[in-house]
Amino acid sequence: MTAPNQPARPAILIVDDEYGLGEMLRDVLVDVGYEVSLAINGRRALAQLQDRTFDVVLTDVMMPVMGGAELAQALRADPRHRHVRILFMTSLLSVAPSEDGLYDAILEKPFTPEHLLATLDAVRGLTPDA
Amino acid sequence: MSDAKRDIPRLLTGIEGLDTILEGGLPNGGVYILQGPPGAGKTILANHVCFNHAAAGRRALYVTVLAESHARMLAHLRRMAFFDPAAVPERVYYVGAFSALEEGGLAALTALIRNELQRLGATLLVVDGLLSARESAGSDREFNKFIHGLQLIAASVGCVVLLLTNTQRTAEHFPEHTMVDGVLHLTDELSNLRPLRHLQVLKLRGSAPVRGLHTVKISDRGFEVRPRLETRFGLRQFPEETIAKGARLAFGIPELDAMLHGGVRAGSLTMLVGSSGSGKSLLGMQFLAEGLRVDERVVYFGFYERPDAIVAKCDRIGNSWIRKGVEAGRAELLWRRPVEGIVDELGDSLIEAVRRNQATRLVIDGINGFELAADLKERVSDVYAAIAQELEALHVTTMYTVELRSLYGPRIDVPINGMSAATQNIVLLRHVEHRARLLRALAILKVRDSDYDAGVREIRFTDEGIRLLKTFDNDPQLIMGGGLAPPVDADGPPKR
Repeated sequence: MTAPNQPARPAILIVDDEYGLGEMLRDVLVDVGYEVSLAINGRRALAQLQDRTFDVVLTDVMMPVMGGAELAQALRADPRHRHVRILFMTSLLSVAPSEDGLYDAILEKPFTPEHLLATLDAVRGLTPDA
Repeated sequence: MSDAKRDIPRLLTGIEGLDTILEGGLPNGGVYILQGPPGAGKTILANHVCFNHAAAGRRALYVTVLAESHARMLAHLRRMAFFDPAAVPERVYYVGAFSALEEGGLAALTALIRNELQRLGATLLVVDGLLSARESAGSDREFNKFIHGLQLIAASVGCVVLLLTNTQRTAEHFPEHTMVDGVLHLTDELSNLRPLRHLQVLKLRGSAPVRGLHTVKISDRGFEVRPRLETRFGLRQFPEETIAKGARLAFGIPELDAMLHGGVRAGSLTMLVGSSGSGKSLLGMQFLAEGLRVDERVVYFGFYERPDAIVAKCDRIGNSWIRKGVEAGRAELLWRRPVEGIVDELGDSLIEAVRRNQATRLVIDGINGFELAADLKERVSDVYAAIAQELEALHVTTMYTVELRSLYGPRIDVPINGMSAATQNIVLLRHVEHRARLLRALAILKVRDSDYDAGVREIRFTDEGIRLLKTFDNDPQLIMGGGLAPPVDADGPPKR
């Protein structure tokens, strides 16, 4: 529970099908004050987004059922979530730069906790699109 | 085999040697286990097949179940020539399925696989980490039901399923082996500090694969496998009479050609056996030079001297034909390191060179290079025999050099089993002590189905070329252990 006069913790949704990776990232992010939720594919992520919003969605690209690109498209098309910050985590060099605003940044796997936190800070500092 | 069996639609792995071993690829709609110890190359082989599949315009799904992380796998694959980053994720798609397995057991894993195959339209499925699925099964029966489910999916979608799992020995039997359509076993072992990788097809329903061990090489080119050359070479029998009646090919050394009544027969195999420094290589190069002089095409295949050194050596004795032949593209000089090579690769390289050049003359300098490169010593005799028969079938006239272990002495050990049986001619070169001088001597020990001059000649390598002299004609008692030319004997005591 958030204490009175204490700012709400930033909420982040980690979406990854690789066993153990989401849990490891959650440990890193909880330690620095994030509120973290996990999903193992894009569809599970959308289910969580039905009831609430997140400040950042940190998602893998290749996943079963629904991949990261489809998830990002669904979020950008939804007025409730279109301004959520989206970070792609990927090992793919072929992911194109986000010219259409589909995502805000790419984290190339593998990455260090420091790189993750620096990228999150940078992304959260962005001005929301109109 | 009937045509109907041959017509089973197959998925080409795109790995040439493997498709040969599999009789044209993996039959569609089948489930195959790819097993072996960690590090044997299962993941690289599976990915290589996936990217070849993608390069052919189709889609592959790679499912990991508590296996290597995708990030690390892709990082390792980036150096491989087959890896095409543009193919991921559109044509090669990686998903992790262990979370689904943890949540819903094998039923959830099966559902995930079925749904993903349909969603992506993939016709090749790899499941990496079958052991995790097995461990999550409550019983063998439950695991077999999972395998059965995959078989139904494979058959209905028409895709090929590769299941990757760890195992140490071929003899290890798992109940699922009886269910699946094929089992491919990879090994990675050390033999006298040399790493040896092999592939063996333990089972392949509806096919007649090339059985036994086949050598595997993993490099930046990816996964390479070469069917044992004994299974590919020497399958065409070449009648000996054809060689016996063939034209004679000269050395271009008048005295030697006279001893051979004009030269060796076209298509024959000649052993140039001698001690180190006795001139075997130079004599072989002279045989090639004479071929070039009469507009033939030639190949030199050596294990010890580099081409530039060979050319320079020939230049020094006035044999400029080799240099000119190389420059004109009518001579190819190949050098291979024997120790780290794979005997099947070397054999392929040799035969390809002869075919590529349409060579009529060939010198193999240091035939024991094949023996040094052999993965299993018990193969050597068969390897030599297969190479000899293939060369005979190509109708290339071949000289191969064999080094004697001792510089002097009456004993001649020629441990070239398999090759010597197919050899028509043997020429011996040795150092001999003659009137307080060390000279080189040449003698013909054997010419099959033909007469020859059995005299012993001095052979001299001069600035103007090679000459044979009758230095020893009046001095038969050469001091080299009692005589120059005892019979060739592989094992027994010297015969006089």
